[in-house]
Amino acid sequence: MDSLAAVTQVGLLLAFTAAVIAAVEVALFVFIYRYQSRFYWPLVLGMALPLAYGAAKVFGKGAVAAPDDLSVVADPTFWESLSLTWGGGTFLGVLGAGLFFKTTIKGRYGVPAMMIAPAMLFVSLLVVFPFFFELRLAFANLNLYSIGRWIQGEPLGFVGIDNFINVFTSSPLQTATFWELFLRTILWTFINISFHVAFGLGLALLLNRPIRGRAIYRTLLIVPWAIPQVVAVLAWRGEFHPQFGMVNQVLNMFGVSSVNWWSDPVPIFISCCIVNIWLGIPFMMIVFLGGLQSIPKTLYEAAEIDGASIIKQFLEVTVPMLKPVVIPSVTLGTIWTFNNINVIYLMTGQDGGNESADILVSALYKSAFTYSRYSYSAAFALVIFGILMGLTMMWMRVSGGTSRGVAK
Amino acid sequence: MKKNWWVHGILWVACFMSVLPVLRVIAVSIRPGDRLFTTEFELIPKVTTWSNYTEVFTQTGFFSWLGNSLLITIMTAMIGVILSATAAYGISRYKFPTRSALLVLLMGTQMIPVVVLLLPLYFILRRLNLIDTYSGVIVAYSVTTLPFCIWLLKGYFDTVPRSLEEAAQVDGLTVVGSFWRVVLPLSTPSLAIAGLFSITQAWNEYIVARVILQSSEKYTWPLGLFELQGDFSSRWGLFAAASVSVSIPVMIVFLYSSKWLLTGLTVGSVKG
Repeated sequence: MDSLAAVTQVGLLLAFTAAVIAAVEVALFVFIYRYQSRFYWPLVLGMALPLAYGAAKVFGKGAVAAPDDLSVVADPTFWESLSLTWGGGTFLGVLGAGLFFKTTIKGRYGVPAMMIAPAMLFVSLLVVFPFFFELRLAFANLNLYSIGRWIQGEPLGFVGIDNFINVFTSSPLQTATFWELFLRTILWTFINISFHVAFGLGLALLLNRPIRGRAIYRTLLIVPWAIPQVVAVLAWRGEFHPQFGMVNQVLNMFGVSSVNWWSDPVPIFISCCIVNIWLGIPFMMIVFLGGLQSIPKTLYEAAEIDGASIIKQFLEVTVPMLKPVVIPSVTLGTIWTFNNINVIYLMTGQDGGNESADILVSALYKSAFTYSRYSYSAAFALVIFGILMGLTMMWMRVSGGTSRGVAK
Repeated sequence: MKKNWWVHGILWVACFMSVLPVLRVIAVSIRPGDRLFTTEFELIPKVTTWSNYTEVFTQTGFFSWLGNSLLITIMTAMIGVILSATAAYGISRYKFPTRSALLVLLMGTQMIPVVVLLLPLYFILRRLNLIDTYSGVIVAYSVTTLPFCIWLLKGYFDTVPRSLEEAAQVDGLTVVGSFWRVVLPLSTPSLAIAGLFSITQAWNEYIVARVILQSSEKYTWPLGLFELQGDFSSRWGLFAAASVSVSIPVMIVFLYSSKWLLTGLTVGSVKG
């Protein structure tokens, strides 16, 4: 396993990072070959030198050891990795340039294949392959105890659909069941999206009026979107501190007794919702504002001449005209909120933390990386993936239906 | 004018709510250590000091976190833009057998959160010896940025009229030449959006970095910030100072570019 694994490792690493550099270099080489041909060979030579250095480093004696134990972490030096990737990139770049001149003249698919191949190599290594690997893991029995043996070369084994049954019968965390998490995710998504849309639409309607200082209001209102999410969530977490946080201090000023936001089940969920609502309103507001501004004024004038009230104008002109903007942004918002792990994870604290605010994705993260149930988490991830696909398909049908309706 | 008072009132309240936490963080960051744990609410501190800032800059790994983040962000954005520009052009301009399958794959990828794929990705990166390296993080970030950028740029290239390249090719440019000299210069705004998207993604990411980066000298700033905030009791002031220092440049860039970013998002979403 040792030498073979080391070679495959190096090969994959090389192909991986070299693909990136190759993409740049194909363009560069082709350009130089075409317009500045006297620089071509010196350049190829100069760029191939690192490849020789990297190869000597890698295939030389005792250069790379296979990681036979989880605690071993590879630490290639900066120059080693640079020379490796740069050299590999050169090689692929030259190859690509050569291929280019061969195929542009003869082959039909040469050009698109060359253009798409590097990105597709990346996507397949990063998305397609992991997906199938996850599928394999979900039918195996890999956990904290068996991983050592797996790394030393023992095959993964096959346990049937046990992991999938376990997802629905035993808790991904310590106590919270799958159905609890599922319902909470739906509640979480529903609460957040309705507040985002309601406040976003309200503020957009106000900002759409000809008022003084509109630019200033707009700038101040998108602050929650502009501030890095991690900063915002961690700052809010501080404000919800039961003793020193602003929220309880303000509540005390109004004579309400302090709420234990950090540990009580319902308050911690509410605090997560408040934070995420605060974060998400600006996006909806800006999208709706864009939609409102694209509605022609003449429609309102016509409605006014016909004697329609403000409410009637809103229902008959604004709402239908806004529909093409609302549907994609709500779809996008729903998927984002469903997948929002940052807010929950950072608000409930690291490593396990409080389970009463966890949604599906944050529970998945914790079950994989805090509790180290690998095969179980793989099955759990596939279940979540299925739910997401269902959600997406449902939305596509809804939005497809409405856009056909509008087109008619 | 009189009619608009209530509008201004509501907007004032909304603006106040939206900047309040930010003001609070700024206030905490300039508050001296012995006044951190006041149990009464004060927005404007009575005594101010810069000691939190000097301590963050000198006693913690703040600049190394920033440097790490910067390296990872720039690499991610470069990979995202370069790879996706060529791929998007190929997909946009050529008909080939697996094209529609490719498009579905790219769209499906956007729906999957990274968390779902994080576990197998972790094992793969471990196999490739990329755990606890910058390259590992960059590679993992490309999972989200690449498909989105390809989709975004493909949508834009579709709108660039084909006749422009045909004209250029009649005048003697090669296919690559016309891509490089005609299409790319025309698409600068969408390239900028793709770059900006990759930058914001990589710069603000927390969860993936948490899994892949293990030694504290390789931490990106969100990880470092979490460390500071983790033990609330002692380093709240430091956390606030670090937050302010990190957020101000980001916010300036964001507010300046928000219009662009938004066009990109809506283009992506309408198409997606």
